[in-house]
Amino acid sequence: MECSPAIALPVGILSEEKMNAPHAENAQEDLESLSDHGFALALQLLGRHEDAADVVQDSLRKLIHSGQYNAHRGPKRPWFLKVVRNGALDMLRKRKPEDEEALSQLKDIDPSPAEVAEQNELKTLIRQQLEEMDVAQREIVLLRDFHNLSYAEIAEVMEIRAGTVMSRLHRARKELRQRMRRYL
Amino acid sequence: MNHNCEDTEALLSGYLDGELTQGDRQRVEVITEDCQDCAQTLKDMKKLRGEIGGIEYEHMTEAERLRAAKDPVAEAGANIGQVLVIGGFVIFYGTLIFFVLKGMLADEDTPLFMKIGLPAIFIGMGILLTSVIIDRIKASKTDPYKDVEI
Repeated sequence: MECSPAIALPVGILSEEKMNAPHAENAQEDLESLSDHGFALALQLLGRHEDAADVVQDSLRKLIHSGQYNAHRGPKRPWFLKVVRNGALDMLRKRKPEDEEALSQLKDIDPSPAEVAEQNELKTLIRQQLEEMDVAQREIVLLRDFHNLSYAEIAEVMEIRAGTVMSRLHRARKELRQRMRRYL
Repeated sequence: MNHNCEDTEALLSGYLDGELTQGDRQRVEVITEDCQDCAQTLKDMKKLRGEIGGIEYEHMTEAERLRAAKDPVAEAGANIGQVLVIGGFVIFYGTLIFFVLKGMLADEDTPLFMKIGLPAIFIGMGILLTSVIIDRIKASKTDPYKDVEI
C-alpha cells in the first residue's frame, strides 16, 4: 500500500512512546499503517469513501481515547481490523434500503469491452466481481489476499474458529474463480 | 495418483497460503504434477491472489486523517474555552457599555449628538461582532482544509 502523509497523534496518548523518540516514530508509523489498512477494509466492505472514513475515525477514537490502544498487547493490525470490521458491519445493517439500491445500481453498470480493455482489466474486473460477491466471501478473500493476514489472524478478525477459515476461504475463492473464469 | 479433483481443490487454498501440514503439502504437489485440471486451478488461484494484492483502493484524505486523530477531550476543552472567553468578553464589555451609556444619557449636560451617536456606535459594534462570530462558526464547520497544517 502507498505511504500516506503523517498524521498528528492526539494530545495525551501514547505517553510511553512520547518519552522515547524512536518509539514515538514507530508508534506514528503503526497508527498510519493501521489507519490505511482499516480504511481499505472499511471501503471494501462498505463501498463508500465517506462511510469508510467515518468507521475508521470512530474506531480510532474508541480505541485510542479509551486507553485500549496502549493497553493492547500482541499484533495490533488484526485487532484493529476486527474493530473496523464490526463498525462497518454495523453501518451496513443500519443502512437505509435506498442506500443499498444506490450502491447496487453502481455495481450494475457493466463496462463495455473497449472500456474494460482501457481499464487495468484484470484488477478492475476482480474488484468489480468482489464487490458483487456476498460480504462474508468478499471479506475473507480480501483479508487474506489484500491484507495478507494469516488464517489465525483472519479467525480473530472474523471471530470464527481457525479451522473454518480454510474451508470458507476455499469457497470464496472458488466463487471468485467461477466469476472470473472467462477472463483468466 | 488417485484423487478426487473436488476434494483436492479444497486443499489448494491452504497450499497456496502455506497453511497445510507437510503431508498434505506433498500430496498436493504430487497431484498437481499429474492432474492438469488441479494444476490449472492452482495456477488460476495463484494469479487471482497476486492480482487482488495489487488492487488500488482509495486512501483517507489528509483532513480525514487529522480529524480521526483529534482528541475529543482536548477538542471539547478548546470549545468550552472559546465559549467562556467570548461569553465573558460580551458580559464584561456589555455591562461596562451599559453603565457608561446610562450615566451619559442621564446627564443633562451631554450634547444630543453624543446621546444618539454613541449608543448607535456601540449597538453597531455589537451587531458587527455577532455577525463575525457567526461567520467564523459557519466557516469552521464547513472548511475542508481547516485541519491541514501549513
